[in-house]
Amino acid sequence: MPESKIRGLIRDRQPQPPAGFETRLDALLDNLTQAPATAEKPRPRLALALAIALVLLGISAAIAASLGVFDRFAQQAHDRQRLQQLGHTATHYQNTITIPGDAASGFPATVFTLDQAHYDGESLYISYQLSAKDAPLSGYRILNGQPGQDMLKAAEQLPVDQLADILGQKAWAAIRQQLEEQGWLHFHTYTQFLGDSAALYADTALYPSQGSAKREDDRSEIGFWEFARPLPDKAVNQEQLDINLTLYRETRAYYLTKEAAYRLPEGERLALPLALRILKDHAATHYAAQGRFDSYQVAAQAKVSAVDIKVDLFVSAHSGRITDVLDTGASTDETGRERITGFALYADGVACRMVEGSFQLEGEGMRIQLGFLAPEAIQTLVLVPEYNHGHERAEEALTLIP
Amino acid sequence: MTDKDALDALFVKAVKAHSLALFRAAFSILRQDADAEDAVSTAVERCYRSIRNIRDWDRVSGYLMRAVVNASYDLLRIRKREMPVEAPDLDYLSENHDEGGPVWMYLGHLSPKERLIMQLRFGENMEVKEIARLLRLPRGSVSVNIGRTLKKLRQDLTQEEGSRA
Repeated sequence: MPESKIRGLIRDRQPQPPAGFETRLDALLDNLTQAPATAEKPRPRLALALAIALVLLGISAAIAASLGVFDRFAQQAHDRQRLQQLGHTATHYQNTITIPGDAASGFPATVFTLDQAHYDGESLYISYQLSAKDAPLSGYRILNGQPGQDMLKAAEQLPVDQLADILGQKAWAAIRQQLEEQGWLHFHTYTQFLGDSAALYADTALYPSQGSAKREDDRSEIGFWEFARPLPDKAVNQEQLDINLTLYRETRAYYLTKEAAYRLPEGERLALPLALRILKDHAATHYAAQGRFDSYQVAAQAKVSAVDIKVDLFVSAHSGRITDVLDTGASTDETGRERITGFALYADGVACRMVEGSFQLEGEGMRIQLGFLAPEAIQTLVLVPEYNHGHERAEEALTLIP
Repeated sequence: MTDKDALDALFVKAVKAHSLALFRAAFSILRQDADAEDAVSTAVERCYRSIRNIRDWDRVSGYLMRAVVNASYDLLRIRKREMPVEAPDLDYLSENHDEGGPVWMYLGHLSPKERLIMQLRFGENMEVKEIARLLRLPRGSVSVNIGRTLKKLRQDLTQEEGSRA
């Protein structure tokens, strides 16, 4: 089946809201807008607030400059502790690769810096910075002359506000001003970004499962990736990984009048390889246990890395119905019997904080995958089921053995 | 007209103009009518509470969409804690989308993020760059996600066609 047909099917057959959706939304809007306006909080005196803000800005900028990329994301991320742990654990590289500029397109000379990386044979994380000296990584250039009629015929008309989104507020304001003066504008944008599909190890793709990137005040870009586990077989338990990332450089041309915006069939995308060597810096430890209790049996495996503990559980009920032992939240149990609602993990007697979890049916059992923050050193790991009303059942505790 | 009335009018107009897109984005993550509607309501309330902070009304659709995505993921996290066992609304999808049934069935097998990206790209016709900005993902990641998901869907659908033949 051609991809265009799939795209068409997705586009043309979309879910419809249930009956009454619009009416209920109208009612909500009525309620919101008819409520009396709340008084605004009194604002501190502007001069004082500004002085405090400037002092704080100076302090935070100084702190940020001295922190690694993982730590900088940890300042605002929801999984702060894990990123802090990564910042603490991952090896500092500071390896740089310089990509020459391209004056014709507008691209400045760009420096890719591998800030930190962590590889323990089974999991891989990297953090990086992309920067250009005294220049933004991406921007736009005004082109001479108007596009020809053939070019305009093949152009795709865009909503003008979409162009504002593509360019960003500051550039859009400048473009609009030039448009007012000239009546039309022919320009191209140049953008560069790291393509996370191109993390290749020995021709095998390593896909990121999580990550983030952001522009800093100095116009550089910082980012980090966690690669999906399990890594491909070839990339498991190596002493080092030689991987290739790709920096994409893309130009696209636009034509703008006071009435309409067009994307022109001009432009190109270049893929530039960035070769990195990541060394194994820690070793993961594996734990396992099995247990058989009154109503269910469970097999558990845990992988303890320097960053987190991943627990993989398979639970099956003696009765054959997993909902007899697990409270899925999807069905009401009116018999009042106690069922498992989750699992707690203790490392050397201290409860570990759960940071992720997923559940899915597998045959007649349930596959449960949980992620916990890892304490610095671990001797014993114990998994305890939690039953309705939040109490743990110690007699069903499972001691995981390395 | 007071300042509040003017802001309210702008807000109501924006919500009404985008309600369908907001519902579809929430549904692509949650795959339950009721949950998707809850997520939209929560997001609308949250945005309204911050109505005075909206500086650029040309971008209000983006704020609303971002709020819906956040509210949907909040609900999804609650659902995960409750350990859902049933694959929600797959029957609904196949019954309600006869010709497109298999596509929506297989979309149901994707991760919430993959479904959301497909919905925004092909359902709402958004640019990769806009999606990346909205979801705070690298653009490359969005492009790759779309390519990988299309490939996955093509394989599934080709298999489906083969088994029907």
